[in-house]
Amino acid sequence: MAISFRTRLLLIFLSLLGLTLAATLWAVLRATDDNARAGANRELAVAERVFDTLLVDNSRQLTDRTTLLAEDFGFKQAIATNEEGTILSVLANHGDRIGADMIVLMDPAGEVLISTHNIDAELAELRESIGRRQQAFSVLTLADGAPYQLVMVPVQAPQLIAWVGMGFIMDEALLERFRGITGTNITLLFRGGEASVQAFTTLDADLPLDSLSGDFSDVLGQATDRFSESGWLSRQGVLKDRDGQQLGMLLSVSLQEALAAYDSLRNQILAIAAIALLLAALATALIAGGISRPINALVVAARRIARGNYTQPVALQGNNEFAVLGDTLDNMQTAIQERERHILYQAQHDLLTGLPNRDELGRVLSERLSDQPEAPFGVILLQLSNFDDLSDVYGLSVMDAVLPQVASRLADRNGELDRVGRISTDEFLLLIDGLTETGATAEAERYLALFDDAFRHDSLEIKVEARLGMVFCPQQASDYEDLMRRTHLAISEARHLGHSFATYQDGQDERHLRRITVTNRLQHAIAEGGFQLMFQPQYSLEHQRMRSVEVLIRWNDPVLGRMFPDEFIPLAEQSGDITLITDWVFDESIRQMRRWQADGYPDLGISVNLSAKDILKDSFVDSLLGRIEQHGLKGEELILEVTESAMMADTERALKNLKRLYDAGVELAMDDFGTGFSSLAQLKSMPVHELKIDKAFILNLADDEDDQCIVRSTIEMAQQLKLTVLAEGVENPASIALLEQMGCHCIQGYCLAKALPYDELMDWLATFNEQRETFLRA
Amino acid sequence: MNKGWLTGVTLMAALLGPVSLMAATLPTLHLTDQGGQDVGDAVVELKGAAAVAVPPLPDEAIVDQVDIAFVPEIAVIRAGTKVRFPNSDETRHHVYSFSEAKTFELQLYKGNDAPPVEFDQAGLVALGCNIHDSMRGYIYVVEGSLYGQTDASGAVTLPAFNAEQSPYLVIWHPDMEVPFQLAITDLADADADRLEIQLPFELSVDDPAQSPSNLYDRLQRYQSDGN
Repeated sequence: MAISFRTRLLLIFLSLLGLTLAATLWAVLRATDDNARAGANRELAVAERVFDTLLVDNSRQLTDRTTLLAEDFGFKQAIATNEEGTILSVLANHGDRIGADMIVLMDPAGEVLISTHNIDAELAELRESIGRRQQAFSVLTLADGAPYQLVMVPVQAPQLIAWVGMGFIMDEALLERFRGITGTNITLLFRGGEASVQAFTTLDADLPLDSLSGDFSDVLGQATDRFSESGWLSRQGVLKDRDGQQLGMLLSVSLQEALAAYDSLRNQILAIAAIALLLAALATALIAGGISRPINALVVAARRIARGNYTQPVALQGNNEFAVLGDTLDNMQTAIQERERHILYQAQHDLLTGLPNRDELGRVLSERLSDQPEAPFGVILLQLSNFDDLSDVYGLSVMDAVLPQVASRLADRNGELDRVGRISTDEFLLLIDGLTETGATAEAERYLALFDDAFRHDSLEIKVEARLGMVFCPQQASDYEDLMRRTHLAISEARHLGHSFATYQDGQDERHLRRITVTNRLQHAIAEGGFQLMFQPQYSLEHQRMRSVEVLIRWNDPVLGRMFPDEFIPLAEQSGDITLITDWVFDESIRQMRRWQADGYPDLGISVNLSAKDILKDSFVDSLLGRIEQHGLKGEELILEVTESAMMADTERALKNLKRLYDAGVELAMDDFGTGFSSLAQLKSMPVHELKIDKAFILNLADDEDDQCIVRSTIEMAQQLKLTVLAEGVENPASIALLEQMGCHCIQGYCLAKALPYDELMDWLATFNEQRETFLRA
Repeated sequence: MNKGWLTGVTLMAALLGPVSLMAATLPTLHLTDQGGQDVGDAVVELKGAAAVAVPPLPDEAIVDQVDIAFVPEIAVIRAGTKVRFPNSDETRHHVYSFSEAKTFELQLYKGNDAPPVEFDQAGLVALGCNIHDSMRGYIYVVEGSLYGQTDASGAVTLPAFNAEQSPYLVIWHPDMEVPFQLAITDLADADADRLEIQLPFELSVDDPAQSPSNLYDRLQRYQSDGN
């Protein structure tokens, strides 16, 4: 929020008000300005009339005075003497008497007799008037660069003997007097003939007379403009424009003075505007405060709620909309709080038993591991081992009734409700403080004892069985994931061993992880063909020839490196991938056999290992039989090696499938004979052709008499049962000699060759055929 | 009024004995105005005394008009004297007086055209010219022959007299509103060469504006240019 609500409100209100006030002020100022101008113009119009009247009045007064003078007997008498000296004296004397500035005496015909000024320019007009009537008149005239009011009066004694003219200068003194009456400043502008414009003025304003030129009304206009630049509003009038004599006047009033009348109005409006703005700012601030304070409180509350803090009430006073909003927010936050608590409970608990669920217990355990990494505690995974069976028997609804009872017993036993959780349908997890391996057994038994008594539901008595896997922290696990995996490993171990509880053994997990990785990579290898075949020769002592090669699989994984069948075959068996491997091995080894048969070893057969899983799978045996038929394999071309473990898992099925192969004419060999738990009774009924004595008995045969004894009797027994015997792990010619002596039919081992890839096998076979004795004899 | 002078006059009277029987002369009087300036042309008349020797009346007195002014400006004459007003100017003059002592008019005349005028009544007669307002002149008409007029330095010497009853001086000057009277007995030290009298007025200063008018000059110039 760049600008707060309060500031924005303030800005909007103040700018609106400011605009209004500014507009009002502008309008008022404009109106007053217009008014002032109009007033000034009115004033000027009046002043002009007054000025005109003044001029007329003045001329009348002057005329009266002059007339009076001209009627003076002495004056007439003096004029009548017609003596220059006397006339001059009387004119000057009487002129002075009435304050004239100019005197003209003309004869009745209008010839100038004597004059103080040059009035040649005026003569035409004067004569015009004189010719018309013998009556006093006045004119405006310019003489010697100054304007005059000239009054002409006839001198009658009693007939007209002369015209006497008295001129009165219109100088600044007169203008000042007029100004006192009109109330306006007066400027007289005049121009005589070719001379430049001259002026008398009551103004202080600077008027550059030289620059005024042109038509006389233009001159007045220019002067008006000049004055207007200095703040004077003027009205102009031409008083005279005749015979090269131009006289005009400007009446001027100060615009400032005219406006000054409105100054107080403007100041009042400004003051009112300032006060209004101030009040508006205060009022807006108050109102905005009244709105923004609760809004701020609501915003703060809403943010707090958004952060998940529901504990603080919003608490807005008053009974306005904000308070209602505040209450609503309060209710909302209470509701959210309630709902969240509910959701949290559901998220953290198993609803059936009310125990913490997997996530919650995981959190408790993780917390415990990180908070108190040193303090020892034990974790027990408790599995209801017969839960599926019970579900099948009683149905899930009954089990739903039983599970809470189980939970209740566990919780009672543990004493701390949050240390017991249900982590899956039939699994509980218990955290027991201070439990170490020492007390493990006793603790396990205490929990197992909880299941001694049957659980009751309605009339049913339900016997629930439990199995426990235990892990000790922190030495056996330092995080939750490890902990869970290891408890499961422990319980798997217990199940595997048929025990009711097991503790996790160090390293189990690593092996487990390795197995998972290997299984995972194995699938890649199957899909991408990551296997190779190796061949280890099997030499028939009985027939003095190379009978067959055992096909061994090799897997060189880019991630895991070189892998041995001992490790990955059991895993493949577990994952069920073994059949795919076997299929591949079959196809590939048959292809290779066909190759060497074509390359000069037509009698060299293959001996392929079959997994117990393969044997137990009917479909595999079907496809195997189909393949044998398809390739037309016969006799010793294909020997299948099987282990006893298949018998142990499902004797009946194993026997049936072996019988099918046996009947199909496939040579069968019992692999790893002597290491399993097979009974001789089974051996009797097993459809095999050959026993493959485990290398454990053969490796030290030459030195170990017990081994010799076992091997000898085994061979003898086989002979009795019409079975052939192959000794695996033959390492030296001494053993060969012994085996030959014992009547062993076939040998296999490093003494001959280790498992070899195809090309090396070919080389080796060539070598062997040439120097057979070096391999067989000491 | 200076108390010292009064004491002096009293003292002198005591020395002279009974004043009513004895001819006396006053020392030269010296008139000054309030500012101490000499007052010239002032008229000083002694009243309440008889002249020791009365001179005969002159035939006529002259008040000339020169350069549009009366010459002399102030003339003192004895009652019954005829005054002639010759005109020495180019312009005519129209001399008149409306004074109580003598009302007369000499209409526009030039040279010696005007007849003499007899002033038979004592008093002050103010003279004017109808066509020259600036012209002012005075004729001071006295009853007896005990009078004098101050010279430019403000000094005047009166003729010898026989005091009758309480003689007194009447002093007049055009700048004074009313004539100034001073009893002889109030004069001190009649023996001294000069008696200082300070008059209660101030001489007016000549106003330059009163000098011949601008209009006159211009008209004269026009005349000389034009003709």
